[in-house]
Amino acid sequence: MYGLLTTMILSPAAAAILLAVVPPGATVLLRRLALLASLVPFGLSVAVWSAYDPAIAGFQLVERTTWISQLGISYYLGLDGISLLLVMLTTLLTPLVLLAAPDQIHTRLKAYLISMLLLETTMLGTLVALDLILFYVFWELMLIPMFLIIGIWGGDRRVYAAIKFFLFTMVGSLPMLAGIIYMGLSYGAQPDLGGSPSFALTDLYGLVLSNSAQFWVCLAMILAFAIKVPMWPLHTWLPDAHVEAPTGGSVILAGVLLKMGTYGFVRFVMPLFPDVLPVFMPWIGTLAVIGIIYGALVAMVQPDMKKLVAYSSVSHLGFVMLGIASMNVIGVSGAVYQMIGHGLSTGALFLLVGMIYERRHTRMIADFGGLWRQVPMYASCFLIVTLASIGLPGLNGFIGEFMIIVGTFQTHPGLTAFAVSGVVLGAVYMLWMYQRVMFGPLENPENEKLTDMTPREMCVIGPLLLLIVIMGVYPKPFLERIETSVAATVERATATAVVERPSARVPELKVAHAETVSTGDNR
Amino acid sequence: MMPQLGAIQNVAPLLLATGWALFVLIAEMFSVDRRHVGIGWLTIVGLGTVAWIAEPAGSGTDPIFASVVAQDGLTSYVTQLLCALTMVSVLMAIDYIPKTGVQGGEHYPLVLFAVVGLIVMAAATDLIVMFLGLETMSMAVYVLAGLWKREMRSNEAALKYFLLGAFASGFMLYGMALLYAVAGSTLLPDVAAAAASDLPAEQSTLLLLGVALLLVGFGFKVGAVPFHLWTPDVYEGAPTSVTAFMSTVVKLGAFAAMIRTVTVALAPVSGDLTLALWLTSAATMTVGNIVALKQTSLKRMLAYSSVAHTGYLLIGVTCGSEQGAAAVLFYLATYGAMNLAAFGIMMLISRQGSGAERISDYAGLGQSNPMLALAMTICMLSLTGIPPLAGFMGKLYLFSAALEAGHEILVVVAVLNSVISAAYYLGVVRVMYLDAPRENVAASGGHLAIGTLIAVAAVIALGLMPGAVLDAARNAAASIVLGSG
Repeated sequence: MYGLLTTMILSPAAAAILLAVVPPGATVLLRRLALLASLVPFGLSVAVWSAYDPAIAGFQLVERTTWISQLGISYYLGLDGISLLLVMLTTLLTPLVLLAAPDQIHTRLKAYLISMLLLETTMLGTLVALDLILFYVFWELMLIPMFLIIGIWGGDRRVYAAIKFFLFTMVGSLPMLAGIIYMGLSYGAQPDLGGSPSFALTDLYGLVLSNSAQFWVCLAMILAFAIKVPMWPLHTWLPDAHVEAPTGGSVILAGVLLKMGTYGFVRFVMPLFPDVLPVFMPWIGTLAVIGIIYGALVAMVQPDMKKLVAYSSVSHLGFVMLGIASMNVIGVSGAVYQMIGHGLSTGALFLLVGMIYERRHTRMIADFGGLWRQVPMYASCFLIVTLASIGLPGLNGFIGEFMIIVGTFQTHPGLTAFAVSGVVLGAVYMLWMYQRVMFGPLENPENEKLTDMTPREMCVIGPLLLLIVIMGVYPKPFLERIETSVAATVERATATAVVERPSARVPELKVAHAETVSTGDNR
Repeated sequence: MMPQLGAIQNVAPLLLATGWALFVLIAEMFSVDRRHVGIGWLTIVGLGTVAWIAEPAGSGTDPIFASVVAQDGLTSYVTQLLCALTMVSVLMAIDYIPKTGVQGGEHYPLVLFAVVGLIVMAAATDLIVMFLGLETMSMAVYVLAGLWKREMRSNEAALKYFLLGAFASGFMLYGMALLYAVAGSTLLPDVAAAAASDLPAEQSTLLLLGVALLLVGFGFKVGAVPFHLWTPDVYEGAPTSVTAFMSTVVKLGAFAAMIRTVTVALAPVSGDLTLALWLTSAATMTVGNIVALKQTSLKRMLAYSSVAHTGYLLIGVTCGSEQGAAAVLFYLATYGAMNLAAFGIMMLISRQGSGAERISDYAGLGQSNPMLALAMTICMLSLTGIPPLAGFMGKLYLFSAALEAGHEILVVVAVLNSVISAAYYLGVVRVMYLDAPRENVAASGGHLAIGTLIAVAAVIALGLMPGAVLDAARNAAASIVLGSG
């Protein structure tokens, strides 16, 4: 299946070029074409899912050729269980967003569809790139379509929000670039590693840096990813970006783009800097807990539903970061599971808020009340998603949060105690909002004209609800893929106890591989 | 002594360029076409031929003509790049100069004379010859800056550039005199030998002073802080095609000469100057970027951005290593392509006279002319250093060289500067896509469009497949010779 990943990441871009030649007036054709085209990467990601062997921890479907040999840069793709699920999330959310587009986008539809498809290419590229420079290429490119989506189709303060989003991310990513170059050159400077620079992740696993070098490079990467997540106190771009972005932009932003930060922690920070992680992780855990509580408290007082959901993301991603800070298999697996779960439930929440906004042109909680009788279908969907978001057992949010709490309790019991209060607060702000919007008497006469969900809207929400339930009831197919890959990552991240790392770590990994392969045989 | 035939062959590109310039000068007198399209094409053909024959001579890396010029990898790389960039800028000028209402037939021979001067600068292994090249180039460019004879600001640009340039030349010549005082010769190998030897204290002070004054001269020509003050006025006042030429091609020749003298010949002492170069580099990029933030004129913004890019380029000179030199040479190719493309788009859009110089003139270009907006976006993103475009590859290589040379802090400064620069480059993208269109912007000029297309294609190609140019830059930096010393 060589070339499957390349085909998958390039197919949306090819579709975007195709759309570019369609006249902008042919909106129906554009819409259908874009939707059909976005099903191609989805189909290919299903093929990737079936070609992926969950028993093997390492990278699969690897494609590797040299790109710029003079600088040691390669075109190196591959995925493991962690990126596989995020790839699936991306290819699922994009068609749904494109399907919902006609309800949300009233000007320059063609440019919107093209931006979304290009964004999908860059997101998929970021998730499967295993060469750090290639990763950086996609990581930076991701900013441009999102900048345009917020800036062109956003709310009143869209220009401010778009530029803030772009510059914040850039402040983080350029130091990361310096760090990446440093690692690549250090690899080339170590004669026992081949003597030429390399930016391939699997090569850099073997790189031995001094503790101070690791500290600075790791700090640069943490900064880049922490801004993207976003971790408190670097989160200030997020509420602006979310509130101003069009619904589709918010869905992708919350669903996938924020996960790029947490993904970066698991993929790069954890395995590459084992010696300094013990220094950073308690800080990350602390900031994560502050983020959980801060996000929840601020969400509680928001009068605007979209802003409430935006701050709830700060809180939920705090949980993800806490899981990562636990540095054990169950905590990190829970974090990855929560990334997917949050992508689904927050994506659905933004879509639902968008639907009511399109009808009433307001998102203020105070303008609503008693919608339950008026739009029962909408209210039921909203209820399921709300419950998923607060972690009701049987829905996806519960499993991730539970695993994170179990994992973190083993390493940071004190932090866990505070974090649990975030769960309670989460229930408070979500249920309170739900109560104020849906229950009570229908007082505002404007709301009497509200219509329930259209078939198209149900098609948009349906797949998300289905997955929310499946992931809550039967997590095994997801977890078995996550856990093998997370176990390998955690093993690398905690290998610091071994004194002679370069010689000692490699055989350890071989053992790990042998074990997973043998369990695969036993099945 | 009769120069051998081989020696003549080695300076063939230089001879051809000179001869062609004279030929074009005469041909222009007989040109009946008021737009001088034929003359423009004649210039392009000449430059193409010069680039074609500017191969590094196999055995001829020996210095020639009493060791005053060297036809080595550096000379041929710089000559070819000079010709390529000039060809594109001339192609743009064919449409642009008549469009501004000027009969600019003299433009083409002047460009060729400037190229001759720049080739001499790059090839010179003797300080005086380098100075001759510098002055030949400068005289031509002074006149070019004043090409809009009836426009006050063009006259101002020419006069300002001339006065300050003459002043800087004086500094440079004084520096050369001091070097001569120490080495007893103006030949680079002799200067290098003197620099490497154990000099008495007063002599080495003299040497350092000489190098510092030399750096002042170079700093002026490349627009380094604090010698950058002429750039915004001159870049803004000169015809845009000349600005494009000045900001890319002239910089290339000056940096080539700087590499040969400061990085290679004076390597033993330039270590003592690392701090000065470091500070100049950091100050240049910071000042350029911060002042660019506040500009409302695109041309002025690009002038300050060119100052900022000089700062990035100086990182490579600060390294003082072969990698650093290679990175500078590669960055000059990427910078040349993206700057030419940006100026090309500006010329395409500009109307009679002043043209689309304000950033607000580009409002809504994304809707009124999506192709031009896309091209401009590519240029702006490349100047910011967004991958996978030329500017990113240039920065990547420069940063690598700097990290290898141990200048981590300078890289951090450069990285923070890139963030600052993102704000104003992105401002142009913002205006094009996020603001409502004001009026229909008409683009005109077939030659201009082709020139711009070539430059934009180069920006993308240098980002995706930089291999060939990277190799050429590395070979050029690896094969620098000083002379027979």
